[in-house]
Amino acid sequence: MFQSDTHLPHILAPEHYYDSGLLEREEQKLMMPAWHCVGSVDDLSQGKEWYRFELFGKTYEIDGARRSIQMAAIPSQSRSDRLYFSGRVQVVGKLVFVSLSNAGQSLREFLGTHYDYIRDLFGGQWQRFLVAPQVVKANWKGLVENILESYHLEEVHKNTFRTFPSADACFHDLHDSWSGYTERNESEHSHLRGGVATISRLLKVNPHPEYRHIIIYPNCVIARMGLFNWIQTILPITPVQSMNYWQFFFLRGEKKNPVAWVTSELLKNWGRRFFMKALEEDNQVLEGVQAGLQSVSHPKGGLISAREERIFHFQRHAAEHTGVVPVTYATGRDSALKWSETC
Amino acid sequence: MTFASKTHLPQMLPAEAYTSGDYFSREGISLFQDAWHCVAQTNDVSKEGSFKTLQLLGHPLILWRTKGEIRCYLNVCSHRHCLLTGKSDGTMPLLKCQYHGWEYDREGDTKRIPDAKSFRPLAPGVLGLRRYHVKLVGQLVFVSLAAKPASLDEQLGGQRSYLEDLFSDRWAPLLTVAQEVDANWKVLAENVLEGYHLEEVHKNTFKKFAPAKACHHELFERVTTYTEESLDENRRVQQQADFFARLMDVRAEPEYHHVFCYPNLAASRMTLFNWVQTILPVGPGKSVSYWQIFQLRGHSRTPWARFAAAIVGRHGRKFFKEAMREDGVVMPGVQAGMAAEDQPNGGLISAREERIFHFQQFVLQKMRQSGSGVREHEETPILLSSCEGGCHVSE
Repeated sequence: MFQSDTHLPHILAPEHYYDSGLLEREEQKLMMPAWHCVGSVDDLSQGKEWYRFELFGKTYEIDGARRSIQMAAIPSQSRSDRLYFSGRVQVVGKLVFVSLSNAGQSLREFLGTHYDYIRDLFGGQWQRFLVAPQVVKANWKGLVENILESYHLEEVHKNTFRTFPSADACFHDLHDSWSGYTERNESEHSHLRGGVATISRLLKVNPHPEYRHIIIYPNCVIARMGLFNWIQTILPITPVQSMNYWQFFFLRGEKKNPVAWVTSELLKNWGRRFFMKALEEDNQVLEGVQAGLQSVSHPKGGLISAREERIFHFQRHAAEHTGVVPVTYATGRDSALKWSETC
Repeated sequence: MTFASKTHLPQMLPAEAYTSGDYFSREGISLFQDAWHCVAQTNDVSKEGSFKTLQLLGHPLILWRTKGEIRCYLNVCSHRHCLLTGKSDGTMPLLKCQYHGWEYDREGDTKRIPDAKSFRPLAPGVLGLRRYHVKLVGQLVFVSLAAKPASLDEQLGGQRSYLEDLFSDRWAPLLTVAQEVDANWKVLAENVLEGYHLEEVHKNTFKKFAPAKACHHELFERVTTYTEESLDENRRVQQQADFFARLMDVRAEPEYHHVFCYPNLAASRMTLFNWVQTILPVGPGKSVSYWQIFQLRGHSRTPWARFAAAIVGRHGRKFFKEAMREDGVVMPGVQAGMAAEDQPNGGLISAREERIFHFQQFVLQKMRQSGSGVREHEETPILLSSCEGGCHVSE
């Protein structure tokens, strides 16, 4: 069930999804203090001296040996300029996190209670099988909000997830710096659960039956679904363009016989097709959301259902950290309400 | 008859009127806010439930035929502001949002909300699509973004019955092109208000401009027209048109006639073709020219008539695409010149181009009337040394 028993208003106005001034504040107040997952230890252990990644439209490099980062050389930049830059690099499980700020929270503080969970979820028997950096023509908050609700599954993910779960199967956790979603009813999404038991037996692994999804604000998203899990880092490039950096893992298990090998190859192939299709489905609609937000006029209404309450929670977090004054729509709800008052 | 003016005329608008973001914003209020815009034809949404999407002055719109009527809505869902559809056209029994499947009826009210209970409490009438006015002129579909738009008849300046006839069912849709041009919308308007550029720009199509004696201008308050008599040097083209017209059992109009209804609608007839052009500003230096070209339907249904119509259609498509390409090359050059830091000596409008002078006067007049204002330095015509002592267009 959901925490709110009524619908909720939007706190952010459409212009907050293409305002360059707000993006600057978001980068300073939300992104710079945060840690961002930009790769895996696999990227640093393939004989490469440097691993390149992009943050906020700029390219950086990680020195694999020294675990330090610096801005990548670009023609217009002198070497002395790029040496001024430094940041922090840390590994949790197989994930590589970076922070562009030398002060502020440590990674353990940033991930909080999820530190150990992430270490286990992306370590040990989990193996990365798909990396999908996606540039999407939409504001980064549009990408975040899209994965904070399952309401769009029936319309957008007709070929993958197909249905959204009943309210009884949904459980939301809402906290200051993160929110979570757990789907507990095993009868939901049965088309995705079929065969898991057999595959698990062949691989000799024991997947968790619950679907679990967490966002650590502002942009770190992790999820676990049967034999798969993934981490998603959402990074702004411009006010109307973002990077969705996905890394997918599967539970490889310890069994090394030919049957296990064939099974894991088939699983990886299925996972690649399934997740790439799901990303394609999302990308198409995300550009439509951005185009609608940028319309000169807007329709009546604009509201968030109880099922989408994690979006309200995210918008409130973003607004509070960037000084955005909440808007009030004609839905009769005061968006300045505190969470406790809305529940 | 030659031209209304006996002398050349001054430029009424400064270069910044073509480049400034501030001027562009004020024009939006003065000229476009209450206006009607021809954005489609009935054929685009001919079947029940068919839709067409388009962009009009920053508004994503959806035209939808419901119970035989064409209606227009903002193509934005009232839930999370997603475009209802990203498709350019298609069919929907009810307007449905691509994101969460919300459905709307012909009044724009919500008809079905999946998992509606999670939106409780929901008062009636709180949610809904924004709807816009639609009017038809012949096959042409006009939309206004204003809650209370100006009179379409008034905007068309007495040309409505002419346009009704010109775009009646006797004409078949031939070609529709939304041409993006890196130039201010007034550059596009002024380009079609004169034939002076034909010799240089349209070397593969129109080739020559007509001698003054064959040109006839009419200048009204909101409309200007241009008629070009049939010329001896064009006799071969006319003979070809007549040959195909006979096969199709129709008459090829020997005169070329061009109408411009302010602020942004041009319509024209030439032999077996006619077209309407809507010029839509996108930014100070970017516009869309939306062309809808028609071909005269033949009365005869014989195989020869159909063959002739196919040949004419093929020639028409090729000709008009090339003419658009030719214009599309030169207009960004005009815009670049307008944006130059220094301007050359001169800057004047010939009598042959007097419709441009008239158009510029209209723009200034509307800017003054609307209260969005004309700055003092924008009021003064750019007088040339050769113009001192008075440049004016004769009434």
